[in-house]
Amino acid sequence: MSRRIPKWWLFLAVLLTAWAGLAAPALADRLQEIQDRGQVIVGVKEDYAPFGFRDADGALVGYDVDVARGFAEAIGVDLELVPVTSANRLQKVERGDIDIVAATMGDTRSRRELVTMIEPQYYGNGANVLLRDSARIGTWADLRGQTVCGLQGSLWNRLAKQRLLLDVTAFNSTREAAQALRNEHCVGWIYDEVLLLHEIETGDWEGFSVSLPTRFVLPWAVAIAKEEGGSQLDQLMGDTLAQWHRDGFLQSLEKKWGLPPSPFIRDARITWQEVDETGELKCQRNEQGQWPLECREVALVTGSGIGGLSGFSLTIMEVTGLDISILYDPLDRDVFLYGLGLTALLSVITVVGSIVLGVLFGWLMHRRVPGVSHFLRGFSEFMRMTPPLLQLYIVFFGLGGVLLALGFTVDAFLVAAVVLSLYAASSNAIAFSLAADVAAAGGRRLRLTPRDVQRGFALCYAAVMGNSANIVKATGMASTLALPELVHASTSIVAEKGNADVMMNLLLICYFVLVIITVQLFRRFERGKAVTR
Amino acid sequence: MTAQETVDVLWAWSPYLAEGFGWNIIVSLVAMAVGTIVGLGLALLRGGAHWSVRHSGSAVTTLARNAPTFVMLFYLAYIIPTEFTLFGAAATFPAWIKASLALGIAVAGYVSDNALAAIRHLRRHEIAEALLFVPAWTSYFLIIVMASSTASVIGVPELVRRADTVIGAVDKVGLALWVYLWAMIWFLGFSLLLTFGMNWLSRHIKRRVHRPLDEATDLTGGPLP
Repeated sequence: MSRRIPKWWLFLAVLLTAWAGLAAPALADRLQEIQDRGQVIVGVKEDYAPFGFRDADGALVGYDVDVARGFAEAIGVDLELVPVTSANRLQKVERGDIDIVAATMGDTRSRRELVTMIEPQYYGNGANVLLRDSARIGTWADLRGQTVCGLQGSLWNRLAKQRLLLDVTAFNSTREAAQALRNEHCVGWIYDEVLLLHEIETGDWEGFSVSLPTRFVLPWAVAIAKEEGGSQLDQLMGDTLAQWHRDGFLQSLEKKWGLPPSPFIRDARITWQEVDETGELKCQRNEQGQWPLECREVALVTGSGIGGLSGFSLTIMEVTGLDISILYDPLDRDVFLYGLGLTALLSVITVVGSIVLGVLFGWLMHRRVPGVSHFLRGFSEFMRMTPPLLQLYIVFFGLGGVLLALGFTVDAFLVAAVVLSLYAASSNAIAFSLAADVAAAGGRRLRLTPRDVQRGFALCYAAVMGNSANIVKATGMASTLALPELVHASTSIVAEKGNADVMMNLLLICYFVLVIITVQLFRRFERGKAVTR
Repeated sequence: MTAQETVDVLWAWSPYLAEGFGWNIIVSLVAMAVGTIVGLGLALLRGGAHWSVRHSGSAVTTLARNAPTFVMLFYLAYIIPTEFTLFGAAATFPAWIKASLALGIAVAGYVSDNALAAIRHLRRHEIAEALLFVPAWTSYFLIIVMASSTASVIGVPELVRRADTVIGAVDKVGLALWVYLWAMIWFLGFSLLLTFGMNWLSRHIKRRVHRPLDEATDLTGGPLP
């Protein structure tokens, strides 16, 4: 028996086909116009080497100019270049003075309101810091609260302040910023990564380096008029760019113009070359002529036209301004969930570890074992009278540094688990030994039997529960060892997306839930075991 | 690096580190001040006449008690703008005040719990028992001083942060361990002094308490709130 397809379903299919048929070949006029004219007019910069500038003969050359020439070839027409500035490039393409703009333009959501950005983007640039090596900065987190030099008007200054909690002193010119760095007014200079790498290559920066991962990567896009979105011109240019990512044309342009290899182009090449099990390219246009979401810069895509959770969360962002990036960005989601898992695991290990060690230590104190009891009492007091953060640092950076010199590396998770367990175990041990003393008052001392341990444990149950809740809260400190747990995950997502309001509230909620779960488990165990205080 | 060199470095940088420890104390004292005022308010609410007042006092106390201070540091650092305009004038909200507020939340929860007992004693004119609040408060101050080192993660130039700076500035292999240990000794010394004073005080108070205590006040510190 064959399954019948319902009538309404067929009707819907017909409607969809008709809609797709209407949408796909739309607006052929601009491409037609260019072909009729035999010339494509492209706006490029004339003052931004090596992207768009004038050579010794006064001709416009550069990376962007070569990109423009590539488009002319792909369309099969001549190229006419028109110099544009950052101030007038959007208006010129909007008015139709130029067909295409290829002028070092960052792809942003607000600019997408005015023009159509061609996907995939053709270049990407981010911020980095030229650091004095002796400052020993290993991560962006090390820079928090430190003064870095910047350039007035630079986009990065505000981002660095808001998202990375850096202190930025802005100077008027690159020369002043560079001099301030040399005069030790700041530990580093935050600026366009490409330009900093360019500085390094001059050879004047002995003892300085650009070593942090790129932040705030902003893809640069070629744009056409707003109403050309989805047109044949849009499709042709997008296909051409995808091909350039695949065949390495953009990388060869980078090399030609002396640009350092940009991570954006490297990653884009990998993405656009990816194939599935059948050998088919993963990034291919769907029936609506759109690239799959996993091939696009998802933070820039608008919610309309995308289904599922991604579309929904992007719509939320458009309407309310709340950027719940872990719902639409698979990378953020993975980072966040991994962080949550790691925090949960660390919590379980430290709670269990601190109870087991706490009972053991507490019992040894209670038994008054010569030497051992005194040592443990002293050790427990010591752990409680020194900051846990410093304990982590001493073991991880201090001892870890010594061990590294001997050829051993220490694992951050192991250090965090052991140190935090011992820290909470100290409080548990003192509570248990006091409880054991009370339980044994007038009678024999407790033995390490389940029955005796339970007697002592029941008397210090509330204290152990409080200590456990507190150590769960303190697991965030592991983030200082660059362990990618929940705090680390949240701050790194904020650094990229700038959605501090959403991420910080999520982080806080997660921790509240973890603490509540811990307390509830203790309560349930108390009822189940009929442990009485 | 020889032992002598290490000692020289630690000695030379000690004034700088001492200034950092000053920040730890300031951040902690402000946290205690803010937290105590709020906590006392909460305790008064919990002892209030109407059930809705009592419940709201309890609810806020539960929140404050369960707030993870380390996470609150980041929360306040990101959510509260560092610079803002107030009535047309530019005002700043420095990181150390954010740290104090984050720690102060935990203090408020603790004070609310302990002050409730103290207030009951006061109402019964049991002055000495009520005074036991003082050593309990002091023991919590100790916990907060330990916790104040976490302010380093949002850039407050306190002792741990400065220890990092020294390690970076001197840049000798193996020095990190000694600088951190030296910083630890500062905390330890402070803790011992405070504990000594606290024990003396609590013995002094207990000697004046003739009736057996009906409500034991927690004199042992727990882990970081």
